[in-house]
Order: sequence, then structure tokens, then C-alpha cells
Amino acid sequence: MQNNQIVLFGYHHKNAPVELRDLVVLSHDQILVFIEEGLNANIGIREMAVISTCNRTEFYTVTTEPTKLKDWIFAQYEKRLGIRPTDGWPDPVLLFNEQTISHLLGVAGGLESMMLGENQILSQVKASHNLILSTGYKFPLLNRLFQEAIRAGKAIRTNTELSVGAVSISLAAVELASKIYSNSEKHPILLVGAGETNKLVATHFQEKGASNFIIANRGVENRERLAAQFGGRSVSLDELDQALTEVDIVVTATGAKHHLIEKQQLKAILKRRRRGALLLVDISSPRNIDPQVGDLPDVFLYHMDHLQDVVRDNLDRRRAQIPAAEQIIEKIKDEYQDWLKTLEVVPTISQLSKYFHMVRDQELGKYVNRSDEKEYARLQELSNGIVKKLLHYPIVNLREMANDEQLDQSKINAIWEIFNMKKLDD
Amino acid sequence: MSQIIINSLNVLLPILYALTSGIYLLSFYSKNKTFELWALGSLLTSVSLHLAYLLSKAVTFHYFPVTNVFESFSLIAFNLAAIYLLVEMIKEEGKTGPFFISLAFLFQMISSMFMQNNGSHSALLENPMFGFHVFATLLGLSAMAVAAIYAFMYWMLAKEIKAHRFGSIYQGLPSLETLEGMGRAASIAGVVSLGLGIFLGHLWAYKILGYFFSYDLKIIITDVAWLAYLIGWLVVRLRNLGGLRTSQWAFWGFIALFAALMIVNIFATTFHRFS
Repeated sequence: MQNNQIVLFGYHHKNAPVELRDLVVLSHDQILVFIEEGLNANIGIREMAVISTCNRTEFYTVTTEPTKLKDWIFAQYEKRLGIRPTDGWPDPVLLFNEQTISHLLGVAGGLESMMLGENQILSQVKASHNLILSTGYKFPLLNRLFQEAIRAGKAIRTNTELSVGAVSISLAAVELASKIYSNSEKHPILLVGAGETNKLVATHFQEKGASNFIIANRGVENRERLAAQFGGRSVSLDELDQALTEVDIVVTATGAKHHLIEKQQLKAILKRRRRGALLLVDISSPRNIDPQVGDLPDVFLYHMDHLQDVVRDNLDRRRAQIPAAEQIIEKIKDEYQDWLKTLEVVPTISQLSKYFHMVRDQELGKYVNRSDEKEYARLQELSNGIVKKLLHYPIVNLREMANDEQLDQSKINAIWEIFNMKKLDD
Repeated sequence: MSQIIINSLNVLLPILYALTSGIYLLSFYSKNKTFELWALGSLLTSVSLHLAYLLSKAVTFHYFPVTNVFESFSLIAFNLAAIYLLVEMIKEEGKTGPFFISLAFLFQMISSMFMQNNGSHSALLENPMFGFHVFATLLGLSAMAVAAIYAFMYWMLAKEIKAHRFGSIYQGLPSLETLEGMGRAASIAGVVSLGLGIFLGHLWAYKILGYFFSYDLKIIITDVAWLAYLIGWLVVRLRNLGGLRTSQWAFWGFIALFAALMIVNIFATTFHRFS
């Protein structure tokens, strides 16, 4: 047990460019093969889990021979994927024990993500945990570590604001809408332009429950494709005025070199509209909406610069949450390390319990033929109670001593010798 | 024994409202949902104890507890808190709490500081029906005050969003649509409650004076205001109106009503006096 080390080996967005990260990414099936091979490779690997996403591929291992890890992993890449690591590759991340624990807790908490506080990584950590559970192998240290990481991820998201606020332009548009409308579900959305930007905007709105989309675009094919994808209606730019009377949210993202919505035009539309507030988000360059439109009552106009301000503010707010998140990680890391320490006394506790029960069984055996069934059951009950009580304090105190680091090997040896426990297995 | 309970609650209520305001304030500045739950629990406790306080006074002293300005303040505090609680529970939104509960705290603190129990009072206040008229009227006016505050919040938030400012008002308040909905819920509660109060008042006038209506300025203003609110509510609903202008109307409408009632109370002291 003493030689086991929790080691992290891997590449992530801080030490590897995207080309390398794409190269080393592993599918679930490939991860299962790596785990199987690793356990059978006879290089000291006792446990293994892998987190592999577009931003990181990290091998978490419990091993007695960490120096052999790098060569073995590189050899596997060459053998299984035909990828030969070259001298041009940056150094992989190699962390040990406490650093590995902190790192995984930070990964699950979103602290290590490219987009600070992002939520998706927690699902990916859960998926990696589920994968090791599905292998059928017993990975006590990593199983517990991943459980704690998931707990840390949840605690950080619940107790801090590390994941609060939009940190991309398209998400910022959705966040703005949520400050005007309580839910996007019942508010029709007009997307002017059918490119990637509006596709992303529509995706984010859809995630928030929106389902009523109108797509306006010059090109028929693109607008109909996007409308079909999001279950919306497609209209030409000539029908823009009519569409504006039907919606509460408008997002423009086109390559048009002129304004598609002018102040006087919108003023006339608002008279027919009678739907309360209207949010206009212009993420085109050059702008598609006349900036003077924002002077109209109940019209809220935002363009790219405003959204960038929102993103910047949200990122600043998230950064301010890092110390609070780190406190949570520190606490959970300490708890995990305390648990690790108690593992050192598990064989002693288990042997002690075995010894007491053996004595009990031997003594009880003398009464099998000298007492009736009822009497024997009472004796069993009595002896069980005595053994339980006799074991209580030794077990509790051993665990506490291990936790407080008061238990050195000589004390453990003394216990084994006093009770002659080494001979118990013979 | 009941006097001890009344006196204890008199001290406890402002403390509870202060505590509740504090938790609501934490909830306003934090995204942690736990504060909202604590605040709601604390408010439920405060309002329940406040109701017990008012009922204990009514039962112990045999009159409806609005015999002086400080008793009225306590009833106003209760009304504000109760209407806000109702709106919060209907709309399931607790971010606006500090604005209302701090007002309730202020009224209750002044009331508790200067409270004198069982002073001289009009015999009318010993009649439960008259008491209910007073209660329903004050509850209606309080609900309209709550609606006006929501209209003001809408106005402020709309201004912040339009100006692209993302400060604490933007961060703390719920969406414009939610504020509008909360304001409307409070308005409806106001129209219903004030309508009931006015109806009971006219009924009571008929019973003791022999006619339904008298040219009492306070009655005229309240009746006209109620009618204006009712018509306003119907117009908003039928024409699907909303947004900034509607909120500004709702806010200034209440300010006008409040100012008129204040002027009548200060300068026309002979109106609506029965003792």
C-alpha cells in the first residue's frame, strides 16, 4: 500500500496546442483498451481512469512505478493508434499524489477549463467515472477520488458563482433576453441571417426552452435549413416588417453592408405590434440595425460592443470566485487524504476482527452439542455482542490515530505481534 | 398572560422584520438559492406572528387595532409584508423582497417604539364589520403601493438595460416580465381588496346613516381611485398593453392617489370622522 502513488499523466490546453490535443484524444472503447492493457502490463499500474475531451486527455493512475508510465503510454499510442510521439511534442503534465488530487478536483470544478467555470466538464468527469465502474475492476482509490471530484464540482457550482453569467457573445445575447423575459419558451424569436453565429444563438435559446423561431435570410437554402433544424419558419428579407410585428426578440447576424432595420420603419411596426418590450441584438459587422432605434420606448438595442462588455464583466466576476472555489477544493482534498490515511490500517482492523471472531467461534463450538437450539442462539447473540463491544474502541482509535498521523509501523507491528495475527492466515 | 404575549410580540416583530430584510438583502446580492428559501421561511414566520399579534390585540382589547397612528402603522407593516408574501408565492420569485420587507420593518419599528395599548377609541372600531372595512381598505391601498413599487422597479431596470449598465439593479432584480407580472398580481389584489373595503364602507354608511354615499372627500377619492384602477386594469388586459409607459402610469397613478389622500388627511380633518 505504501508504494502506491496517484499519478496524473497527460496533455491539456495549458501545455499542448489544439493539434496535439486532437491527436491524443481517445474514444471510450480506446480508453477501455488502455485500462485493460495497463493493468496487465506488469509495470505497477493498479488502477487507471482517463478523461479525454477536446481540451484534455489525462491518465489518472495508481501505480507503484510511475517512472515507467510515460514510456508505456507512448508505446500504447504507437501500438494502438499508430501515433508516434516525436521530440517536437511538449512535455506532458506529470503530477503526483496531492497535486493530482487537487488537479482533478479543479478539473471537475471548472477551474482548469479553458472557459473558466464551464459546466460540461463535470459531465465528462462523471462519464469517466462511470467508465471505470463499467470495467468490473475494483479501483478503490480512483473510484473514491472521482466521487470526491464530482462532489467538489457540484459544491463549487452550488456555493460559488464560478459558473454564473454568459462568457460568449451568443450566450450573452440569451442572458440579456432572460433579463427582459422570464422565459424564452413563450416568446417568438426572429433570427436575421442564417450563418453559424445565428445557429449558435438558436442553439442556446433552444437550450433555454425557446421553440418559436422565424429565420429571415436572403439565401433560401440556408434559411430553410436552419428553420428545419430548429423547427421554425423561414421568411425572406422582404417579409421582415411583418416578422417584426410577431416577435419579441430579434438577433441580426448577416454580412449586409447597410441597415436592415431603420428607426422610422420600426416606429411604424411598433404601432401595429402591441407586444410590450422588444429586444434587438445586433451582432453583425457592420451593424444591421440603426443605432437610433434604441431611442424608441420599450426597445432594447444591443450590439457587439455591449455584448463584449457583458462577457468581460462576467469573466471578471468568475475570476473573483476562484478563491472560494479553491477553499472548497482544499477542504475536499483534505477529506480525501484523511480517508487515504485510514486505508493504511484497514488490513490491521480486518485481521483484528478476524482474530476476535475466530476466538468466539472456537469457544462457541464447545457448546454446540451441550445446549439446545434456543440456548445456543442466546449464546451466539451474547458472544456477538461481546466481540462487537471489544472491537469498538480498538477500531475507532486505530482510525483516529491513522488520521492524526500517530500510527507508525512499529505500533502496527506491535498489534500484529500481541495478537499473533501473522499466524492467523497459516 | 395575553398582555405579556402582545408586549413580547411588539418587541419581537421589528426584530423579525429586520432579520428577514437582512436575509432578503443577502439573497438580492447573491445567486445562492438557499438565501431565498431562508428569507421566505423567515417572512412566513414574521407574517404569521404579526397576524397572531393583531388578533391577540383585537381579542384582548375588544377593538380593531387602528385606534391611533402607531397601531395603523403596524397594520400597514402587516399588509405590506402579507401582500408581498402573496405575490412572491404566486410568482415564485424572491429577489424583490428587501424593498418591501424593509418598509414593513420601518413601519413596525416606529409602531413598536411608540405603541400604547388600549387607548381611547371610537365605538365603531369595536364592530367586526367596520373593522373588516378598515382592514380591507388598508390592505387594498397597501397592495396598490406594492404594485407602484414594482412599477418603479420596472422603470429603473428598463432604464439600466437601455443604458447598457450591468450594476447591482441589473444583477439583482428579476426580469422585466416578472416585475410586470408581480406588479399586476399586486394590483389585482389591491383592486379586489379595496373594492371589498369600499363596498363594506358603503354598506356600513347605509346601516348607520341611512344612505350609501356621502360627499366625503376621502370616500370620493378612494372610490374614484378604485374605479381608475379597475378601468386601467381592464384596458391593459383587453388591449394587451405593457412595458415602460404602463409602468410609469401605474407609478404616477399611485403617487397621485397617495398625495390626494395625504392632503385630505392633513387639511380636511373633518372628513371621514366618526368619533
